[in-house]
Amino acid sequence: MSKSSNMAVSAIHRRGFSSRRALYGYAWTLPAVLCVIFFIFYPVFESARLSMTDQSLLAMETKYVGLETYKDMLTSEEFQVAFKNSVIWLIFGTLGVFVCGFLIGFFLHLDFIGSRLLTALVLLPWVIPDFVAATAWKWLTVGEFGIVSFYLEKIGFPEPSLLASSTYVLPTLILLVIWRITPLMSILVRASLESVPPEYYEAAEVDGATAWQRFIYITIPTIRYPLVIGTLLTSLFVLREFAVVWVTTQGGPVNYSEILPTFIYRQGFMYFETGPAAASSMIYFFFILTFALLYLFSFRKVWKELL
Amino acid sequence: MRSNRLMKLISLRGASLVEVQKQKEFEFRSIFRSLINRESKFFLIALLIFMFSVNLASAVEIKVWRFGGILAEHSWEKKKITEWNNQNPDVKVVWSNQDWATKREKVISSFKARQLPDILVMDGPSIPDFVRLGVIQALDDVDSNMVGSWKNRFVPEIWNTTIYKGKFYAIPTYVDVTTFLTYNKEFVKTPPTTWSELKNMAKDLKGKSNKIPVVIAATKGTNDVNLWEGIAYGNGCRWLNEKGDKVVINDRGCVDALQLYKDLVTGGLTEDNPQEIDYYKAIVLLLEESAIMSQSMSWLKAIDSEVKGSKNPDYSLTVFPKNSNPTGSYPSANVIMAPTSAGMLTSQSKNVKAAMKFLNFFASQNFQAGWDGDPIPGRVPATKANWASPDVVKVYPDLVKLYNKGTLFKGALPMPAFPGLVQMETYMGEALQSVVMGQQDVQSALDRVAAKSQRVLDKVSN
Repeated sequence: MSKSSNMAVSAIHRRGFSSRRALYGYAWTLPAVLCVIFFIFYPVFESARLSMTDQSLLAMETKYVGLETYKDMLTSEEFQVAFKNSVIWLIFGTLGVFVCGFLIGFFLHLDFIGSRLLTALVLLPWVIPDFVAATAWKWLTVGEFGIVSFYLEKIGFPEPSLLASSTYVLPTLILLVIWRITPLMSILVRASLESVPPEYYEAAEVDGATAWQRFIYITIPTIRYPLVIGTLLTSLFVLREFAVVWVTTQGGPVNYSEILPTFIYRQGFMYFETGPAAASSMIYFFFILTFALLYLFSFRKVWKELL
Repeated sequence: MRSNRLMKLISLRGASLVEVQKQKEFEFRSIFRSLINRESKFFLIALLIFMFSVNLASAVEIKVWRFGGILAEHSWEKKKITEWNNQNPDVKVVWSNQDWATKREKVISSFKARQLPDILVMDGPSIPDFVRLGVIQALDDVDSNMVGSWKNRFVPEIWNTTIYKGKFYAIPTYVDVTTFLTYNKEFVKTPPTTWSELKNMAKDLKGKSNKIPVVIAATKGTNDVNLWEGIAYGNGCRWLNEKGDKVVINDRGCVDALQLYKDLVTGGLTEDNPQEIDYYKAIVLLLEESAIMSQSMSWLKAIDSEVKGSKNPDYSLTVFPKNSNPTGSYPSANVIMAPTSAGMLTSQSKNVKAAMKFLNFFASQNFQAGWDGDPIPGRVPATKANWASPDVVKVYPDLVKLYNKGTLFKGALPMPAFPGLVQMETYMGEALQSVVMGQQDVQSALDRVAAKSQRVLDKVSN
């Protein structure tokens, strides 16, 4: 055989061999791809399709209505209240988690006796199942039995039954969510602080930087990537909370603590209004997507540096 | 030259790898061939025959989902199912207890996934929605003779609570009756019988002790709305007109029933925040002697056995006071009631005959006997034989007297049940809360409920 034909044969063998390898590669990733399609893309597609109908499982017929269901939802008072509460929930929940998480993480980063044990204890609210935490908080704050209500009444608080108050029910539940999600942020902050090279601080000290200057010009810039990601993650955790509200108040009293997840659940699973529930969930989906995109756009400089 | 040698080495290496691959494939095919040689074929065929025959010989399995219930009921049912399975080797019943709070979600999800059991044991008010959805089937359509043989065993008014649009859908074991007034006998010698007497007595009690005179439950939960409905129906209120096409919950009778709640709250005669006290906490307050009177349903004795508080007050039950001059447009209902654990046949049952055989046992006095007050307390029994039992007298002495006189179920109505009610009762719960919190006047609150509920009714009626 000539040299060129040998090379051609070997090239064919190599190509044949590598395309089989590629085939194996696709085969191994196929289950994951199928999972993504069936558990993410298909439900979103189906939800979008259902949102264009007025389907109620109790009604005899279902009609395609286009965007009418969206219009009905957006103009309904119950949806508007739930949406407004969700925005408040997002802003104050995320802010609270960020501030508390940062302070606790920073404190845990200081080297003192028992800091590791304290780190483990700080994780407890995160580890406790959400319905257990919600039930416990419910019994702590209920007017006739709760110990928190008892002491609030003693100090003259105007509405000691926090979960029965139209004014304090939402802040109380936001506090519960902050208590639950702060451990995640604090661990993230602590880990990020551990990764700051000590030489930076040494060099800054030599140059005469104060503690505050070191914090502002070294610590914060160094840990900003994990902070940005951590804040986005915690805001998504805040937004997806359901059990906390459902177990404690079910959106009450009246609808003062109704948020979009509980509203959607009630529409779909209790009223069997699957069309409106799908429309509400699509609106919520786009709300979260818009928030995430805006957030990432605001921190685009950070991404550019990272990439 | 060097590059040629390199190319040759690479191609040789590639070739050798290809050869290895081919060898592996050949070996794999050989193993596969050996698996399907003659001996293996006979073995496989024998195995298939064995599995098939085992399948043929095994009993028919009937799955039953039982939602809610108290411990005493679960123990009784377990005993009866064991008894059934021992006596009926051809029909094996697999009974599982399910969570009450998520019953609707569980049933609808299972129905859509075609994973429903053969039989559901759950509440009568779910029947209209389930019939509408096609979840359950009418028992008299399946076997009218069998259903006919059961009828005379049951109290007629209770039997009628599971009839929807002229068809019989579920076998009751007991009913929950509402609304009752539970009172501490140390403080209340003669219970009030009218709204005015109730308010006057509560004012009197307020001055004499630091206990809550009367507890009302006003969360958004269904039970709390049912408690209000019992009072409202007693005042001639109804959800729907006679034709069933118009919501009339803002009728005068309903307005006055909600006004009663508002009067109790504004008069300081009830707990500070009724919007966070549900039916369960209301009873706990009474059993812990923090309250003197409380509204309740007939299952108080059932909860009593499980609450096991530190105090042990001497209490009694009576029908909740009525308006001395009912103001509603409809006849005053003495009480309203619903079966909370009734056996239904699902539309997805693959063994209808076997399921009906078990339901025949479910309807028998052998199974129903547990609900005569012992071992299951606090349930108003569905069968006539249970009312004649000496055990029920110990639990409900006053009710047995009324039953024997023929007046207990006179004027008793089934609890409201029609498609869309769950949504309407949520609106009603919100209205209850907004009124007791002083955020809305009664008429406006009920007008809003009526308007929103009418839209729901129109939608489900299409």
